Amino acid sequence: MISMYAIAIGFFGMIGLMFLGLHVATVLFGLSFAAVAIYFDGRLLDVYGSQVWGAMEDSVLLAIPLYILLGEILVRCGSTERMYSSLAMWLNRLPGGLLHTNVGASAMFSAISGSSVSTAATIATVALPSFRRRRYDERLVLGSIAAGASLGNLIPPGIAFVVYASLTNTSVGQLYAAAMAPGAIMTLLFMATIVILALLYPGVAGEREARVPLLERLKRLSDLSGPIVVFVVIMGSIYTGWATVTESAALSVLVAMAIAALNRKLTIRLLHDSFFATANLTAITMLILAVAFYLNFALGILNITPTLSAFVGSLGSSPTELMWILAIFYILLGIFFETLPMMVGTVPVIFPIVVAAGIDPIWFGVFIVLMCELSLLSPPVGMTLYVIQAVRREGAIGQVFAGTLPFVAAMVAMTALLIHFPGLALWLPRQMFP
Amino acid sequence: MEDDNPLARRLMPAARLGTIACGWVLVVLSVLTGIEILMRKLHLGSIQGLDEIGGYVLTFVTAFGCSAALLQRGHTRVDFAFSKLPPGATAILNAAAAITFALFAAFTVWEAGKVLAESIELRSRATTPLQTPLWIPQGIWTAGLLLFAGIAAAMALHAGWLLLRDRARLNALYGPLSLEGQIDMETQGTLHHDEAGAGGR
Repeated sequence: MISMYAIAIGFFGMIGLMFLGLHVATVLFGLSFAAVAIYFDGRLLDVYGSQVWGAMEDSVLLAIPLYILLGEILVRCGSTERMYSSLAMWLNRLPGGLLHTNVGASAMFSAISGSSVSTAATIATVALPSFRRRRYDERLVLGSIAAGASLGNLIPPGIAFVVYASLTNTSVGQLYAAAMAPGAIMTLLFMATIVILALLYPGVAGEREARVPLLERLKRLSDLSGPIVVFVVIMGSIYTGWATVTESAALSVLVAMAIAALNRKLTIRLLHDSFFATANLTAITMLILAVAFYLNFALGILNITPTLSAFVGSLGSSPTELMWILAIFYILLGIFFETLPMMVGTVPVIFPIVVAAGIDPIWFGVFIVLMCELSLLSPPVGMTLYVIQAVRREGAIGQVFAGTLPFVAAMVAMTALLIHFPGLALWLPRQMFP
Repeated sequence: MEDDNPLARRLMPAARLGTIACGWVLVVLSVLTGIEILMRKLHLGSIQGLDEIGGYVLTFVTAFGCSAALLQRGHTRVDFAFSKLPPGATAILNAAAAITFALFAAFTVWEAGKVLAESIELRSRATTPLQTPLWIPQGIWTAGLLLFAGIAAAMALHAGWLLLRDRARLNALYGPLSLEGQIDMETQGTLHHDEAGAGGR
């Protein structure tokens, strides 16, 4: 049996090599290569090719390029400005005004685009000019955009859940159902944060907006149709049993093309640019994932689970304590890592521990995606924060950091809710998949 | 692209062509899936083997996309720590990353080639209703990976050469994308969709 010592060396060696700036895929491959070479005299090196080929046979993974493609098409054909102003009509009467629109628009955009960098850059570009005139607290303007952009993966179609499902043999449909309530609560907590701040410090929100007549608001709903229709098509076709997750992704690509055609934006140029971006992002994700499958395989034949379970048993902590330990571990790791490396680098090792401790795999999927979101938002390294600062081109990055802190607190509160009330995630999937 | 890498500029058209072909395949597959769902609902039978073809398509998109991502410096690196080192050390690590990545790509295509060779030798077919001769999808997959490994090798040689000649240029061309570069890459078409296409503004 492999020792805990060896596992720890491997794990921290992996993190160290990543810090040296080697590609994440190279590091994961090197680690698997070393494990196989040391423990099996290299006899299993030759299965690498068939492992990588076989990994792709999991048909659910095809949802990854399809989701990316649908996002690329929608993002290119819709007008973010119109989406933003249409959403503002609904949300700006709440205390905190346009700040709610930042959260809402960023969440919607990141749910379809799948990229928090692209979300933060786009929404910041669209939103910042309208705030300059209105005298809002600048820090909260920046923080609310970052907060919304970090929500993307919790809202279907999120690629993080597809990656998690394929690494752990769990069901994407169940994961999406499980994420529904926590995603909604997280959004409400963000909005509540804004309301509370606006009531406590009336100065943070600027001029109040004029009320827009209901009819006008309803008319402008068409500007939000892209994200809403896609969400309904995906969730609807999965939960009525009409389509599998992959099929629903294919269906939503067709819907996205239809929306682009209705907007008179469907051109060969748009498609080719979308294809190029799709292949890029798919390859970046799949290359790391394919190597992670090989690492998973290597760890599987090394039989690390008994070692890890014994180690966790020796800690003598309850599942709740274990989850808090993991939450702190992920928050620390999240300071330096992006979503994908964080997930594929840790799930092969952490997942067996969690399952051995009797924690529900579906619940853990929601937990780890929430941890990934937190890593995007938490200063001082959250990627989205620097993107927003780069778009802003003035002031100090410290203002962005300060602005995100109330939302980081809301996310930590969400983590606590999820840990202490696991039913928030598990109730819906248990109703839908008895 | 932010810093003009002559190598990347010359190789990009080939990579882009591969990704466009893959994109059209994805669209055709989506249309067929739509038809399949409709036929199933109307009890008209089903198109055999879409699942299987989908799996092959994913390998194609990944293999050809890898080249495009490489030329755009898209493959993920954790740049938080090492980019704060002095430029000399950063240059060595950037060259090391390019060279190890090329070795990894070379091993991957070598292994893929072995899988392909075995399928050809044994005349393997998929154990599915389609009974696809496996050399066809595996051949396309290997070709995509070969392009990827070739580009990775060329970039590694270039990076190694620059390490000896011009370290500042090495860091500019083979370091992680700057924030502005990354924003440009990820928002192509979303912020400037009317006047700009792929490749930046």
